[in-house]
Amino acid sequence: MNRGSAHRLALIKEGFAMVRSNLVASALIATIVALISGAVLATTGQTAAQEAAVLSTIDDAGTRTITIREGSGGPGFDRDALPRILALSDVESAIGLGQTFDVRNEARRGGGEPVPTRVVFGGPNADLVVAQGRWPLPGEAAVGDGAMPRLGLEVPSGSVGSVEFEPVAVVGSFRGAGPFANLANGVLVGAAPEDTTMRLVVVVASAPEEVAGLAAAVVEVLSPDDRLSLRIETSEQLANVRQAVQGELGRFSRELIVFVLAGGLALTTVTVLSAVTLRKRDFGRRRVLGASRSAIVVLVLTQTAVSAVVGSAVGTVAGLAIVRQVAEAVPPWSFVVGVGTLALLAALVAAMLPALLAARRDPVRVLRVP
Amino acid sequence: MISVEELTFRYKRRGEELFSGLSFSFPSGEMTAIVGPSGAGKSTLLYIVGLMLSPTSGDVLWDGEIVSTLADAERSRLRAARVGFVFQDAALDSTRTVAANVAEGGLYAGVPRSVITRRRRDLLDRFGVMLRDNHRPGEVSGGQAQRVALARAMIKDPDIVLADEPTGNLDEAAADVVMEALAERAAGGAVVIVATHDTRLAGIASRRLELTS
Repeated sequence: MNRGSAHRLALIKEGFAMVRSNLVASALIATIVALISGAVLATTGQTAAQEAAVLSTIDDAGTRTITIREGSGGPGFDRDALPRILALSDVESAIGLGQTFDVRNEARRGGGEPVPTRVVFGGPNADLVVAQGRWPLPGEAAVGDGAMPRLGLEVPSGSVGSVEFEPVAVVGSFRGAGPFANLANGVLVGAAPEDTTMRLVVVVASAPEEVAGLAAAVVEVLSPDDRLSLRIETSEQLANVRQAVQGELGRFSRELIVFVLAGGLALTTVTVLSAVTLRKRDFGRRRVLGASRSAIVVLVLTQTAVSAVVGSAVGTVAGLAIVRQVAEAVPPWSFVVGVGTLALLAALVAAMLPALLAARRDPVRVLRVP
Repeated sequence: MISVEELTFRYKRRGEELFSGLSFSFPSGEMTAIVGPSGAGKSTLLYIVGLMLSPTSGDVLWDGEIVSTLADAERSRLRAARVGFVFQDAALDSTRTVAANVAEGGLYAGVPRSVITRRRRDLLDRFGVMLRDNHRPGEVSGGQAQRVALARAMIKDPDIVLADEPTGNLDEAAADVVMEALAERAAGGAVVIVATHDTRLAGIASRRLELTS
């Protein structure tokens, strides 16, 4: 460590020591910051939790989904387009689905309930996950967990087939969520090399606002012969509803946060100002001993930051406890961390003016003995 | 060596002139006493020489270089590195221990922690307050407090020592310790300047600057 770094570190340590030696002011700052973060979390935290729940419901309905299929009689899409779609930015996942037919459990000799089956192109993803066994290779089948009882299967094994379709081995089961939830009521068969055509492509965008642009890009990649015959189902309208809900709930939260922060900022400024005024001889002595103005600012800000970190942590825990008790929900962690950080930053901004005043005070005047 | 040339100081608010056209030198290795009645400007001159106050006109020179016109950050750096200051009322931090108060003298000069620890022990031992190093200033006598302040001033081994009425509040025995330490510092080659009413302290100084009101 060079001398400059060691000197800065020593100053910061001195700031920590000031927290202990100036306990009343430090405790007051910590209390104010705790009140800020606690009040924001206890009030807007409920809103944020509700907002997260509403948005999650909308997202479950597939705000980020794009489904593209050809009109009746179309040639379908080339399977080679799928890797290119997956390579597009803003694509979270994508699969292609081929022809549809019904299968039965082969062990029941043609009896049992028929279950809808689709040829699948592409692998599992965050919303389409393997539950048991593995994902089907070409010519193998995986059964959705909703279809297992209908096929009379307790574990994914044996084979499924139909009159017009050769039996295929069942190698696993899967669960579907979001846009793939309905697939879990059927069977997926891995596309064989001779299956070159996708009838339907389902793409999940990384964010709702990317849906419109991504839909156009996907169509470009698919390059169908007749674009007019395409049926594109996007969740653009749902995404707009999502944005409107988010905006409405967010506006209330923002106003409340600004109000609480402004109050906290004023209180912290007054507290830090009182503390540095009471200790003007202390700062005067430090200046005479060689502390520069910037060193005084560092000392005041370090003392405030340490107190504010403690206050922010206490306020966050208390605020979360209140929200959990009242709303029986927890706001998103990004919101919780954001509130804590904002309260800390507000305290530092509030301490800046008193710190500068302490640094600019004439040491000779405050130290003169009458 | 420190010198002042054509120094004038006037209070900004009152406009009252404390001294005008003052030229004097404070050689290294000697103790200089600034004497004079209250209000003559003894402390003010000390603060100007120590770069805590700016003169209205004239220059302060340290080792032949004008330092009174430097920016505040540079003056702070010089003060931190070279000046040990002894206040009349000790001016200790009442919330910290004696040891922490002494260590603060080296903080702004960037003196390494290990050096501070070693010197602090030596100085507190030498000034007879070692057993008080974990006490708060409120738990020691006035004489002991001033010796702690002396240790704080000496911890960075300064080549300039400025003392403002260092024996003003002390009994004779405590004053003797302070006077002896200051004289020893001057003998060691430092510039030692004391502003004082104490005729005994002024008596051991090799040079005197008398300010009249």
